[in-house]
Amino acid sequence: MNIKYLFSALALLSGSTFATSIAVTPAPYVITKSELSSPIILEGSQEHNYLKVSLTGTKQDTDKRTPINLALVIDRSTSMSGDRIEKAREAAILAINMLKDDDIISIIAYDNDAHVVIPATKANNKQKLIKTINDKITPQGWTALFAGVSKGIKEVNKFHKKDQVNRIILLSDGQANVGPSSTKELADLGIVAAKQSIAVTTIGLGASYNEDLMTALASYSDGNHAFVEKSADLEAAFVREFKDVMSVVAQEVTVTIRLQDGVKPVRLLGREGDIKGNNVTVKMNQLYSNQEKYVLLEVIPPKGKENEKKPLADVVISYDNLQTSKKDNLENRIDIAYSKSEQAVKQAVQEEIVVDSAIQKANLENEKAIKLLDEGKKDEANRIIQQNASTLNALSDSVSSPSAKAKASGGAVENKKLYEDLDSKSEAVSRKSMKESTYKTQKQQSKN
Amino acid sequence: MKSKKFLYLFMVVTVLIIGLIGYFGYRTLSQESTLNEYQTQQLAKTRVAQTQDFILQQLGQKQIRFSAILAYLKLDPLSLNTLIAQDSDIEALFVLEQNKLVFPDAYNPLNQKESRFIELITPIIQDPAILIAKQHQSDDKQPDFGWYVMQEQQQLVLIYWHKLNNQIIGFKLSYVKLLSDIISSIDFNYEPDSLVISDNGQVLYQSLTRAYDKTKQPTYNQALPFPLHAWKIDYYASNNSNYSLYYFTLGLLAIAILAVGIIALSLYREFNRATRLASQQVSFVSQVSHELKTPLTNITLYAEMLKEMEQEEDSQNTHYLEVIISESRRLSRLIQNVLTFTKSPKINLQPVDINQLLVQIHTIFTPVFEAKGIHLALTVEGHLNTHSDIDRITQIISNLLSNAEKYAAEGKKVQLSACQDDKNIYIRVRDYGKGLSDKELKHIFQPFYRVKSEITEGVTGTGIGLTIALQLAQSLSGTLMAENCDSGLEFTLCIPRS
Repeated sequence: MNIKYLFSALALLSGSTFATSIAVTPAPYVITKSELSSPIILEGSQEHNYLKVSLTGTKQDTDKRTPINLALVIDRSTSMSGDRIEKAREAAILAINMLKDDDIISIIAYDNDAHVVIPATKANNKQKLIKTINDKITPQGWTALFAGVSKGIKEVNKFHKKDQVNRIILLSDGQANVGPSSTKELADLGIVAAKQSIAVTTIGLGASYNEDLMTALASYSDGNHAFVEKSADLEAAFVREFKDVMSVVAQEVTVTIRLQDGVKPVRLLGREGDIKGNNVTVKMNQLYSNQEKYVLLEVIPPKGKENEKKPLADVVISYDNLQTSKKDNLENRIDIAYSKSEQAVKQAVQEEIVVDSAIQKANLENEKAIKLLDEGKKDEANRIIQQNASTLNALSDSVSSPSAKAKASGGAVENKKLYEDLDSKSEAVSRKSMKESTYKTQKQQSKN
Repeated sequence: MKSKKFLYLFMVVTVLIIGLIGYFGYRTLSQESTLNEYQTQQLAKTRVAQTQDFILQQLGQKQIRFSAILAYLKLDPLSLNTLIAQDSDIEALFVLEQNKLVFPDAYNPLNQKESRFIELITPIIQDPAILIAKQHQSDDKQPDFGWYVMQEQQQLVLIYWHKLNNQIIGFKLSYVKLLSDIISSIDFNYEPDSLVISDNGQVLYQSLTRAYDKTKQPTYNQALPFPLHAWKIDYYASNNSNYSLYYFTLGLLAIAILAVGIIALSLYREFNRATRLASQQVSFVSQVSHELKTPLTNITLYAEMLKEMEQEEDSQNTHYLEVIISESRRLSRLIQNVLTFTKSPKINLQPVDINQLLVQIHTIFTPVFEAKGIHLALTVEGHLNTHSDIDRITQIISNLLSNAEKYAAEGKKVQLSACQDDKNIYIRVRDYGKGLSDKELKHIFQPFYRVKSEITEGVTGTGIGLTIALQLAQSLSGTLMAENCDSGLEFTLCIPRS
């Protein structure tokens, strides 16, 4: 293990020189930005500030995309009978057809126990794979979800490589009722998968699955989560997921923020991370092309004097570059400046970061709303969501940058849709919509 | 009355046989089922042991891994944190140096996870000896490594600890990783039987095609040894094998009983039919004989009257009349005999001059034989006398001769001869007909047996002539035998000389 550490230490050493060279490259692979929402603050003030580290993968040549090692874990319990299993089969076949011959696929179906329908294999004999799917994925029995995902991990590990996208797509329409089935156990399983750099994407079908469990599993492994209300929309969800899977440009992303003395970390908005003293570490499993993922840290800056400029934080970003199969390390430094002029402070404000933080805060409120819903306080929940919608609406009016305006109004529209759903749809469905929405916002998952 | 008694006997025997079959069937079944149960138990035991071995093997592999990691692990915080972050088997890790916690370092900032972990292992930090105390240990040596089990939020916490010099390193095993490894690798297919692995009653794994019925008693169960002593393996044998055995044996029994029943019934019916036929024949013969009695009495009466009248004229006719009378009387006695066929015959012993008797018989039969073109020859060696029933001897020989006349006419010759030795007198009737097969020869003395061949065709007969002859011979303490000669049959009547 110390050898492993040695390598990463060596990589870390070469990081600073590498980072500068990247800036020269005409088309960088991952574009990173580290900014404060208010880079200039009033002298003597200690208002909460937001530090955003964003990462965006650049568009890549689709012919050269990263190889995929995918396990499809499909629920074939009796509740999947009829239209659902048919659509699930169609989605699985669609997945197979989207793969290249060199990609690796395995299919696991679970009922009372999990069964490996197709062991991890190259996707070069598509006809045979499709036939197996049609023959073997027929509904029966219960829902051994844990066993299904475990077998998925095992199959992915058979051909596990660092420089490929290792992923499990789990499809379920019901409660896990065989084997370990608590949210904690599935979250831990997500951690186990993440440690092996496998992301578990969960797709919930219909209104009877456990969304807390499914989002926990996805969250801890940094996979996506989607709620598919009608089985007819399953294919679309698969296509979206595949768009993500195929556009992975970097993996094993670690963002380390080292705050200067006197800077207090308050909380991470959205992603979970590790705050240890003045060190904040956040991990992301994957970066997709043309999709921004960010870390948002609320901090309290130290007091300063007019015209003073202080270093606030050092940011180190490391990731596995899938095109070069090397580890890239980028380093950024963030400073904070002080001024007496309110005008200067206001002008310096990064409106997009303000909007992002507002959206993440609204998201936290929405999570509270879900808890209220569970307690049967539907009206209170509704009020919170409406409040969020109007806050974001007001924000979109107050900002001037077009992208910030668009983001804020988009957030407002989404919240509006959520409270409309709450009125018109069943509780199970609207809760799932909310859970999906909060999850996507939290993880900056693409929404279309 | 007799047949009813017989029916009862018959039923008793049948019921007895069926009962016996049933009893043995039941014994076999219960024995088979005990054996089956024992085999099922053994099988369950073996399979549970197999599963247990598999689980312990998985845990053993973790232990080996941890030991291997320890061999090259640097105990600085960065290395340890990297290990925790990257190894999916390790959820957390602690290092105690001289009974003091050095990692995670509580004096430096901690994250939530680390704080929780320190809270969890506080008892160990306070008294590291509890690690050893919980371990199964030998008497003389204290172990340097082992598992320690705790409970956190109703979930099992497994800590593998290892003592190195003055340090104790403890790995908190990712319980979910262990579960995942076991569940994804377990590959025992025991269908239609099923197996359930549970932790404190919570099902972890089940290999069955139907729902797990908590109320059902397992065929065999076993708790795992430390540190997985909260785990239990339940084995549920499917009942199908037992049922099929029962059905199979019951089916076999039913078939056996049915077969016995059918055989018994058909035997009974056949027997009844034969008895009814025999009794019909007997009654027929006795009726016919009875009917014959009246005309015969009349014939005898008138013949005697005629003889008295003829005696006065003293003509040749007297002799013929005597013959008619004698024959009529004999016929009467014959009929009497037939009528008393089933009763014990009355015996009338008197001195018999065999020579004279045979001459007399020869004389009587000659005309009948000649009418059919048969030469009846008589040879007697010496003078033969005995004390016996003259009627019976006459009847035996008459029966034999009349058989010869009926069935061996084509031989054109019948020999009647007699001789004697020290003890017995032998009277033989030999014909030159077609004879009989050995098989038929065995049966000719049975009542109502008639050889079915062209010989008997068109010839009347009741089939009791030879039976009566044999019975009569036996009543005279003699024997009657039949044997095949070169051509034809020879009957030998053997009677004692005195």
